[in-house]
Amino acid sequence: MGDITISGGGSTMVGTDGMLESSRRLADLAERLGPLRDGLAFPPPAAGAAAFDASTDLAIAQDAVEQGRALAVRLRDQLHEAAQRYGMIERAAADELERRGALLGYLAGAFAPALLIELLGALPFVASFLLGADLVTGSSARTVELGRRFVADHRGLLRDPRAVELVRQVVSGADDGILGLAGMPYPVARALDDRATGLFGLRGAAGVISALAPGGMLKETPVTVAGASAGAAAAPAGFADLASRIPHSEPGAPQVRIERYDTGGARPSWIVYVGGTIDTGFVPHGEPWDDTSNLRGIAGVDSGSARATREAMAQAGIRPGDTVLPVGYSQGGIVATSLVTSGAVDADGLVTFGSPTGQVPLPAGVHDVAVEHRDDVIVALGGDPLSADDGGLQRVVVRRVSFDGPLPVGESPIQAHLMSNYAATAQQMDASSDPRLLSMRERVTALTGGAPAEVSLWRGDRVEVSVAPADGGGDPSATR
Amino acid sequence: MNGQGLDGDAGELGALQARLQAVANIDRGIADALHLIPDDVTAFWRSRAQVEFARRLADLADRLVLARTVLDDAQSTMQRGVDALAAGSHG
Repeated sequence: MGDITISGGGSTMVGTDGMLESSRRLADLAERLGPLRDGLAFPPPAAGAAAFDASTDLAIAQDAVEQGRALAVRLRDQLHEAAQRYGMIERAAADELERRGALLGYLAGAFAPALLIELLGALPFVASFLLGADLVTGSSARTVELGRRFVADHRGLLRDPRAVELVRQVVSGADDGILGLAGMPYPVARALDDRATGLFGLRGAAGVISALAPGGMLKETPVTVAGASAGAAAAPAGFADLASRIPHSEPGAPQVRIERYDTGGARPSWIVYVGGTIDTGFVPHGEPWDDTSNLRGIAGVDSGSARATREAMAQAGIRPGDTVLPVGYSQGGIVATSLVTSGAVDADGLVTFGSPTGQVPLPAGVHDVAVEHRDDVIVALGGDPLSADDGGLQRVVVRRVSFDGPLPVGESPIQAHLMSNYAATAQQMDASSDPRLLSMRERVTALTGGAPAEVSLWRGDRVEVSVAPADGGGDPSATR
Repeated sequence: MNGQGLDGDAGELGALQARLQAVANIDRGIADALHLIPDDVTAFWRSRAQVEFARRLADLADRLVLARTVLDDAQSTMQRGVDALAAGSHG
């Protein structure tokens, strides 16, 4: 199983968990050896015991302990320096990739009409190629079948972290592509990039796509919410418990789990778990956890799943000012993040698994732990994360490659996104002694007080509305 | 035993016993500290081809093991002294 790497949380260091763990052990070792070395500095012995005081051996031992201490300090410093350099190189590479991705996106947008004409011109060659392929395979159906099989056998290539990075850059360049297509000069397009200005970027691009989608595609609807069941549970002990309690993404099943903790204060505290996408269609039907909510969530506008979650919270008894820890997986992470950014909850923590939310700036002081597999293409759909200069270090990012050995090219790329794989990463996080992860676990313990939880499950549904000719549909802000 | 009388021997015996106890405590402290660099930590770095780092970690452990070995000798010497002084103070 691949090691986790941890970055952010106010630190400029990026290191594997093994590197950071060794660094901490060496610091601890050096701290312990100092007093032991000093303890071996005995005063001269009394005359009668001089023959038995072993001064020479004690001096040798003291010297050995001091050499060990100095070595521990040196190795600790070297590890810190290595982690710092690792972080600098990673940030420089990320910035360069972002610049190139933006330029490519802009050029693709600016030259899209010409490219389209060129592609049309290439159609006869494509037709000739397919005809030749049919002659070799024996029939068009056989060619199609072979092509389908080839794609199926190599679909795992999308799990290659390099391919995931490429997707991230393409997505990040989408805004530049739109501005290029609109004829905006490149320097102006760069200046408008939301990574720097918040004026127009990935969120703006997602908003444009959502707004321009034809018919009922990607259009919001009202939602209804109903309590599904209730029960009790012990307080979560760590990340693995948090991950295991996120509702499974199943049609018709509850999408939200709410745990109430009465810790003796005037008001209870809460953990809200939000599940991932259930319906992958772009035309909203009954399921609010769909791609309409995904795109609107990335665009930073209200979505059906976010409204359903807020409604469930209200019905569960969560009031403004209550302490809430939002926890989400995939789309649930987008919703959980929106609860924090919208000010809907008083949260000092946020935990997300496999969520494309790296570009979302959080209010200062919110402790955010984001778990992202390096081979998870869904996470890449969130584009480039915020840079360190733009507050990106606030986010503690835990990364891991979810497969062992060679790239599983025959496996679905979605394997890396499965909650079961993120649950395995959460177990590694619980075994880590990284102070940033320990800090979040302590926050969870402080929030629950170790008390048992009163659990409720909630199911949201879309109210299907016919597209009205005048205003394009019902009032999506009305949660019923 | 050394002509200083019972009181003098008892003082030396007490001082040597205290020193022996202090050395035993330090020995245990080093043993505890050594647990911070178990073999699997060194193996972790070696498995990542960070051989030089693994070698230095092993070197660090060796120095602490050397300190413990020498301290064992020192404790034996001091224990002999304690025994001799105790025998003298009672003889």
